[in-house]
Amino acid sequence: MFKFPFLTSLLVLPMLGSSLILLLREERYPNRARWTALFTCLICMLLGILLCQNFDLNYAGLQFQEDHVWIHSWNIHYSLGIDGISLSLILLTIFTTLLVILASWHSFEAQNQYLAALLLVQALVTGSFAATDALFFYVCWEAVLIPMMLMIGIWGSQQRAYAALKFFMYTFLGSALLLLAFLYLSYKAGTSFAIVDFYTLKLDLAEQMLLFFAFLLAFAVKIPLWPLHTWLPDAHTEASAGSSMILAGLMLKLGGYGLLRFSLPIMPDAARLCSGLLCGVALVAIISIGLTALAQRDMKRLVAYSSIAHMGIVVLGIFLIFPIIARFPDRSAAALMSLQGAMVQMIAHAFSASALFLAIGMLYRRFHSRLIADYRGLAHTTPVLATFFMLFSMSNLGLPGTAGFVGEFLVILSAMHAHFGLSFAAGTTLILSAAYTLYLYKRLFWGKAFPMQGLGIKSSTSIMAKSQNTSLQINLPEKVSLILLSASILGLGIWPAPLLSTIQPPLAYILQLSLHTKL
Amino acid sequence: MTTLLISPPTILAFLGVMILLVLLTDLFAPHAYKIEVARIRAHTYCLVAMTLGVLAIWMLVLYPKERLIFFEGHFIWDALSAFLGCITVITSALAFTYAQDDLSTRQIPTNDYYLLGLCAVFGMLVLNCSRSVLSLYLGLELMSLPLYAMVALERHQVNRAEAAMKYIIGGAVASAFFLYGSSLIYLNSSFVIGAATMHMPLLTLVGMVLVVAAIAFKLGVAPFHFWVPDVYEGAPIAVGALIATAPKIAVIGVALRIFTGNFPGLYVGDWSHLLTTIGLFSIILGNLAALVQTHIRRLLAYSSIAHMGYVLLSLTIQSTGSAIAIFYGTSYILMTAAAFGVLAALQKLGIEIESISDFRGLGGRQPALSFILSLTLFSMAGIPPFLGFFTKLGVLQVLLENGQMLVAGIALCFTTIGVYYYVNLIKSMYFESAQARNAISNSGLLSSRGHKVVGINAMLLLILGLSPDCLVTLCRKVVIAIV
Repeated sequence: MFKFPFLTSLLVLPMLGSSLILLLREERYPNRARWTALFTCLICMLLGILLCQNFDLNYAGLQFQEDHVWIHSWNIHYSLGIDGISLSLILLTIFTTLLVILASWHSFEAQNQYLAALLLVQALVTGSFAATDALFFYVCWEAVLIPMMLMIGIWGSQQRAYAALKFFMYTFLGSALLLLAFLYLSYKAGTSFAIVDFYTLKLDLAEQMLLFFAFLLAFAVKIPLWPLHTWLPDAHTEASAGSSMILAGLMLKLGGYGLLRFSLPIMPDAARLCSGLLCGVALVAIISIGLTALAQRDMKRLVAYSSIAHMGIVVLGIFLIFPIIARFPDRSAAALMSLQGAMVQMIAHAFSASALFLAIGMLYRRFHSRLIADYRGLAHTTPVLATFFMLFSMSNLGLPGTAGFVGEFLVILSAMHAHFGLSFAAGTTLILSAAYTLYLYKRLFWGKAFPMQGLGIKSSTSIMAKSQNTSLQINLPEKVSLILLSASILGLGIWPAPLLSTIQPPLAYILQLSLHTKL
Repeated sequence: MTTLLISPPTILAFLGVMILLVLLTDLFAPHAYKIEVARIRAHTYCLVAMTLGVLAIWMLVLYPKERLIFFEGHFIWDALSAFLGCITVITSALAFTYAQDDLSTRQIPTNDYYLLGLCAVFGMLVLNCSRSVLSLYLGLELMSLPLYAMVALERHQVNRAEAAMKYIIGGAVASAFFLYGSSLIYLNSSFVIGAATMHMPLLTLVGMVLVVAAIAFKLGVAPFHFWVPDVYEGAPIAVGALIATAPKIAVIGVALRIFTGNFPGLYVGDWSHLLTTIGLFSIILGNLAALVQTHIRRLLAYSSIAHMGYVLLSLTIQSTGSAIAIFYGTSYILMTAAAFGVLAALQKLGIEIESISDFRGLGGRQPALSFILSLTLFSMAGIPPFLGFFTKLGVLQVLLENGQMLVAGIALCFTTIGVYYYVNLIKSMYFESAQARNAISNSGLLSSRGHKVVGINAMLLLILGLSPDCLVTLCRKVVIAIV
């Protein structure tokens, strides 16, 4: 029976769109590239919806599998397959790309090359999430750095070159040992790179520890986990709004996905031994980075630090399973809840961080400043944006009813099973994120407006004075993206059941693998 | 008759005749026809390109099924010779094509360039077919002497002469090493590679170490690398393009014949430690030194030192490693050829690229060439899905399979550090704004022949990167045939 290759089309389609856009002549048809990108992305969205419809929610294994030999000499396969985790992340990928295309519709950066790079990122990230061959995963994982670095470096602000290079070198250095680890695993598994084969591999503790740290380095840089996080504030600050959305929404998720897909099931004993350390590091990230965020004067930097703190919750949720099981060996439901919390938090963070970066990008495009001190009383001049921004802030600080609440709540609740102190420390994230988010909101939107349309930048007032009234309006593509984001934030916050039931079977499978000792 | 047709003597004789023909065009054509220099240049280039094309097709069509041995065992014609011969000829043709762009802007006698270049190719083909120490020496000298002269072609410039002097003196010492080493070996065996002796006296060992040193010099690996940066920097781009590409694969072929366990009484086990040490040292030194370079061709030189270190590492492993060594060498010279091709193309457009800062803002002014160069650089850095990644993957995998975990780890770490200097170039090209000095803009179309060829060359890096299987399989077949 012929099966439509859904995953391959999700990979190939954006690549085709990307090459098509590069061939278009920008000077003569400025809008054609945008429409092509949007159209490509919408077709991918449609395919994604079809994927959901044909997806068997109760099956924990891989679905829509495709397998072809890619490089015979090293037995590398082009093999794809998804479970609930991959499905939700792939949908997130398409959705985020769609938002970025809409958000940068009228901005300077919506050039052909930018949109081409964006679609390339979409294809490669999809490839990483769908790959079931470790080497194919690695190829996608590394290749995505190229368009991403170009997006930060070419369309960023003043310090973009530094930030792009830092981003590239950090992530590349981090994942160098990943390649060696994959090669070693395949050597142990008899020259097979299939991830499933790695799951059943017998590894002694020393091997597991070395491999675990090789994997951890790669994933911790991507997540980014304190203290390997320093590339993120620079990259986020210097990147344009769209690139920041991609970074926050997709790049960081690759790290969390890697921990779930590789670290836990392949090296369960090493993960168990290191879980205390990692929970500790995650808590340091949550608290110290939360405090750092309070002190930021640049709003993009603030959101970047808030991203690191929120991803700390994800890491905590992933490694909490071991303390929980160590204390109550029969409470695997609580451990599963913690994994679910981590997964939901990844998606929720993608929504709220992209939303905040989108809104900040809209402000930056109009007022050309990222400094919080340059703004005051924007609620008077941009009431619509102020309303949306409020919703996004609420999601960022984890208000019940918004997406941000679900993940954090699940993780904190399951932390209670491990230790009250853990739960308490994790709970500070709610206070800290409320503090910095509301403080940001207060300084930006409330108070008396500056005389010049809420703008206090002395240097550029004369430039801004000319086209103030028109540029303050929110255009249609921006409006659509704001509405889409709000809908998804509220949707996930009010009714998270579809997502939870999608990710439950594969997470239960991963939990079972990670609690089963390999020694 | 068929034996005669496919024998290396016939192929070499054909090349010799063509060299004479090029010499004659230079001697008589300008006087006889009184045509302008540009057309002479074009004609000579056509003649050279046709010669190389015929050679490549000849070797492909008459690809040997079994090994044939000539001249009292001094020459061999097998799959390895044919494969390496093809690669040598094709990359020299690439280098000559790129050289056109560079030569047109310089006061270099074009015919001299092509004449000497063809002589060097002759030497490389001799190397590919040689089976004894004598013929190896003959090939090495035939290859090196024209190259020494080519470096000094633009002789009114001081730095060219300096580079040539360094190259000649270093090369002479290496030749002396090689001769002395092989004479020591001769004490206990014959000149022919593969005639194994039962025991290995100390003198033979010393001789082999000297031979290894000579080969390491020709490959340009640390600690015999001092000529590489100076020659790359001092030689004109046209000459650098040749020196950096075809001779490397020819010498890798020599190393393969010597090190794959059929040299008198010595097996890889005996020197895998020596090769591993040299290789690792090369990778470490090449990558670290390249980090601080400000001159683009010096940077490429140190990058070549690092890459050749990888080749040596793969040579330490029998048969599987040898295949990877050829694969690595072939891919590496394809990348280097593309890099030099872009430099030559920019030279033709009047953009003199010397220091790294000259790359600033190139992405905006020369979109097509910058794109090509960035493909090449990403490939050299070993980032998937480009060819350079799979070459590194091959080496690492072979090392791991043979339990060289630590070696693989060290090599990988330093290569990753080395990624910085490639990406730094990309950064200069795309993320920084232009300097006033080089602010010439171009429509972005690829105009000359060299531009188109370099475009194809760079696309090949991506295409072969997406399907490296064919090249790896071919290299494996070649190696299986010789073992």
